[in-house]
Amino acid sequence: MKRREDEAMVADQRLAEAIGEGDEAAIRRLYELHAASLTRRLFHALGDAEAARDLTQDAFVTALAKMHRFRGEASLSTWLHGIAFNHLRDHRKHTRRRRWWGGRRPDESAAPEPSPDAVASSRQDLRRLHSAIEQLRPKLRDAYALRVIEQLSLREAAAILGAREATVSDRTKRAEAIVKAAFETPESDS
Amino acid sequence: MSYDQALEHLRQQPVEPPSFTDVERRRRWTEQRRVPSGRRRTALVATYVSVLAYVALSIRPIIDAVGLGGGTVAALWQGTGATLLPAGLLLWAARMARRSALGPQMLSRAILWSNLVVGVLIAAAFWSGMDRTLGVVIAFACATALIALGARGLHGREEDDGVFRPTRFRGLLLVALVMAFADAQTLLFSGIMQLRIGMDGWNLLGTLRYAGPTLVASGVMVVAVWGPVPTADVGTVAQPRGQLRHRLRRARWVLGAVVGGGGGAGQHGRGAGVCSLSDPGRGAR
Repeated sequence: MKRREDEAMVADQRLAEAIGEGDEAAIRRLYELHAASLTRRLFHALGDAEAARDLTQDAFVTALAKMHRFRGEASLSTWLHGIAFNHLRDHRKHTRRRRWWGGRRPDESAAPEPSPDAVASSRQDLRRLHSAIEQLRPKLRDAYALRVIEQLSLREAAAILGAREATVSDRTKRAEAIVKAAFETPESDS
Repeated sequence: MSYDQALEHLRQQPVEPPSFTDVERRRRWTEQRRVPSGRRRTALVATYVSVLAYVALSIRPIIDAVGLGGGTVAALWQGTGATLLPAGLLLWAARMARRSALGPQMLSRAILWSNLVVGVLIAAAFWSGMDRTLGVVIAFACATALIALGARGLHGREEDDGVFRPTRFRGLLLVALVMAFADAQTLLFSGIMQLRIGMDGWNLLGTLRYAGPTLVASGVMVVAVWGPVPTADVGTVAQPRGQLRHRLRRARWVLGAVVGGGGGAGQHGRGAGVCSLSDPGRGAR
């Protein structure tokens, strides 16, 4: 286990060095390894697929520009996700300000469309789950997205969110309780 | 469906990542816009020099007062009250210059232009002495920072659909925006100076009548040019097309009104006008 971790660290370090030297293939490799998971996690934390894609691009651009700062203390994936979640926090801040001033609202099609073959009932349940998640405050939502939906380890989630493991654990428990309660409460209009 | 089943459905939902081409395009675009680190460092040092010049400008009356045994509190108000705004804005400009988005890049240049003008005015207002030297330092440092920053970073964000993306008269529009914001800042500075001079006599009503219109006008101008939220993506450049034209029109209208008002006030015989930076006696040595 330890040996596998060491090997992964060495591979990350090599990839980072190659990117630092401007190797296009290494950049593509970084994208192939992390773009899908990063977009999915951002989407679960934000609930907006378009914004998640936009933030993924921003995260890659920042990471590629600052690759020389990668020290290998955490895995490349965790480092990249940390950058992405920093962008996410900025995005939320700007969105909040925009709402406060009554400006343009971001795309509010937060609840994503389920796959075409999804049955009507499951679509409704998914929407219910989404609206339950929507109620969470950003910090709780991030913890919920990473720990419950994405099932990351406590250590990894804490490293991405820049918080202590105990804090993330506590946030996850609170978030899950809120979402479960909201999901299981029957809708008044249905 | 239970909560666990719904959660499982959610996990299996496909979310398309951005294409590699999109990521590469944005990366190249950001690289093209970023001011090279050497030039950015020069601009940063020059900006800090101008901040230090403002600090020197503000602590000089305090030193004088202490040396002469005068009122330190009064000197503190005279000094820091006036120079806190430009010094703070310059620090903000230094921070904004690091960001690659068009909004912060324009903002940093507007602040530098504004302080270049203020520096020249300080140098022109005092024919000799320390204040004049500091005014020259401020103007020179701001000019250096502007030259170092150059025009890099003032290009539009080509992938932002539905936002301000000028192609014709682009340079003129950007210069107009930068200068309009610089005008607003200079006006705000003048308002604070008027407030300080007015407050020397502790006549609140008179002071408000004196400095109030300038301060209000500068506030209106900031909102007119920049919008109510001065952030990277909510600033003027991220507004839908058409709004920019209205903003420039509003800024022109407010500026016209203020200049007209200033002329009227000047005829009325009030001492320090819009561009008066200090009471004449202060600079005399």
